Amino acid sequence: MVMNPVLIHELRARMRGGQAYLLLMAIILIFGGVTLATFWSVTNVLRPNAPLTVPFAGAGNQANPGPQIDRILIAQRGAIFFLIMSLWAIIIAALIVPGATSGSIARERETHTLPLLLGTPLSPLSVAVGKLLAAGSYVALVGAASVPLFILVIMFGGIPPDQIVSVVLIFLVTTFAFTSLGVFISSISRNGLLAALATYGIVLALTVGSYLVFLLSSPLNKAVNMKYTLYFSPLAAVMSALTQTNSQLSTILGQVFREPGTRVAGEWWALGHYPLWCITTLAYLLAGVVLLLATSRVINPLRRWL
Amino acid sequence: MSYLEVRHLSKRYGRTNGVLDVSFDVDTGTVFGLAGPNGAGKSSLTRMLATLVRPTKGQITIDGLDAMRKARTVRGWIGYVPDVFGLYERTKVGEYLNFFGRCFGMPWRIRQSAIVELLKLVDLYDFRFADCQSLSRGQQQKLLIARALLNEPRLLVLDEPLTALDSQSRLEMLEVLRELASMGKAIVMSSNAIGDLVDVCDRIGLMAAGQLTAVGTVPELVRELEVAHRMRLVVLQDADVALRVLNESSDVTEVEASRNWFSFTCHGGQAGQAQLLTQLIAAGVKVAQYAPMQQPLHELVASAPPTPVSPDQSRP
Repeated sequence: MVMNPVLIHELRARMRGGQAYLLLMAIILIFGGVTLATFWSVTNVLRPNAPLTVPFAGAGNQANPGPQIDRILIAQRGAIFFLIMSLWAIIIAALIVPGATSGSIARERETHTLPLLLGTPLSPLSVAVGKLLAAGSYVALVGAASVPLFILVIMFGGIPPDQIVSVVLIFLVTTFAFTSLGVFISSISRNGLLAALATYGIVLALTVGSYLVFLLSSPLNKAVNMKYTLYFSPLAAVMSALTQTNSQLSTILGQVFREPGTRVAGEWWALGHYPLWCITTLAYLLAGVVLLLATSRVINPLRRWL
Repeated sequence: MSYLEVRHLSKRYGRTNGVLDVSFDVDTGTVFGLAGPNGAGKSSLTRMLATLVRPTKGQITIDGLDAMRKARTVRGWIGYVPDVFGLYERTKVGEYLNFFGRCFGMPWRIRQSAIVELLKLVDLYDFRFADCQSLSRGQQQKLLIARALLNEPRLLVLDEPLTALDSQSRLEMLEVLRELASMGKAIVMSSNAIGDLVDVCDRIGLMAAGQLTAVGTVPELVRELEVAHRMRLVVLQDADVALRVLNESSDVTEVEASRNWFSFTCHGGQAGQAQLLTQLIAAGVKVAQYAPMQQPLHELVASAPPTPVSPDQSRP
């Protein structure tokens, strides 16, 4: 098999020097801290006979423990733990990808190395794919390094394998789409800094912004219209994937998430017929492919598509 | 059919003509030079030859293939050195060539032997483990030339390849180019210093304002551009008569006289020179010597008015 030369070159250059490893270590430490905090919350707050409020908040004490933690919450500790970890994984990917992709083509344009690369028989699509895989590989490395943290979830159990597969799929497709977006913006930007800023803006708007719009609109009773913004958010996709066959978790998340669609038998053409996470994942996948093709056209000096 | 054929090539940037109706041919085993001042369109032209810019009009044919339609194929035949270039950070010299060798689809074994050979050719073998960015500008230029030769191109397109080189390296590089031409490669080389091209190019095209103003071998260009020629006149007697004839002639300027010796600029080409000689003889001047003084091509280029060349005139 012939490896993409751009991918090999990028990986070699990216992992040379201490910067990449320091960043990886920092990310794992942060994620590890989040995992520990989540684990502590799940085991110390969500336990039988525990007061509803955390002791240091001042309400509830040994003499007056307060109301019992709902049994549903305790039964769903594993699912809640996994949910929080998955959401953080998506957020961390959203924070890494713009930085990893912003300089991929913009920097080559700034340093005048792009014409020499495009003057070889390599197709512009190969160049774009190489850049995408190189950036995505770093995110995948972070993901792989985080796997041991997810093993804590096994302690609690209660996560069916199909849900794990769904969440992994959402993570991979989201990373692919964001990386494609970052490479595309890098190809149309004058410099890496502008590309990074633009990519961060769009990625955070999609990931967190769209979800916040839904949350903030709920008290205004406009959730009926704003619920469709959930389709843009991979965070909502994760919640959707985990609540498909878990009605208890769906109940717990009732205030912060609900499926936008109403499944009506026979209406296969309607958006609401399908779970949110399927729609979002498919849309992100298509968007990623389109952006990749667009990148190959932008960087093609003869302005062809491939 | 020539190996490289350029027909009516134009490139427009907004309202500006970067290149306008340029046509020329280059055969294998020859070196074609492009000379002209900054902004003449040399870099735009070389970028189009390297299929890095789509022309607004015209056609480039390389070994019978349309370069724009079959760009990926012809890029494997072209070795290109741009005028402005950069090198990758955190990349060693050997890795840099290895990377481009992969991009050209060269098998590993051939790639490795080519890299060693080329690094020795450009005197960078001892720097093969050094960072590209740590090389001097001249060494970086040599590295670019080695990169351009990596895929054994049939056509070399070099945009001011000697700019950053010292005089010794420049001579060595010109020798390499002559040898490459003798091996059957077609070379197109641009420079804003025509002196770089005179010694190595078989034919030179002069560019100004995006157009080819003259094309030919060095002697042809000298003849064509000698519209205003510096002449030397030595007379046996009647020096004052000769001086009067020179001053009265409308084709003569800048007369310098010293006893029986005169130098002057004669406009009007060979016809003007012949007419002036006739006038001197008719005035009774005994002419001992009447000959042009040799001018270097770059002086002629600097003083010649730019006149676009028709496509037929630009073919060898």
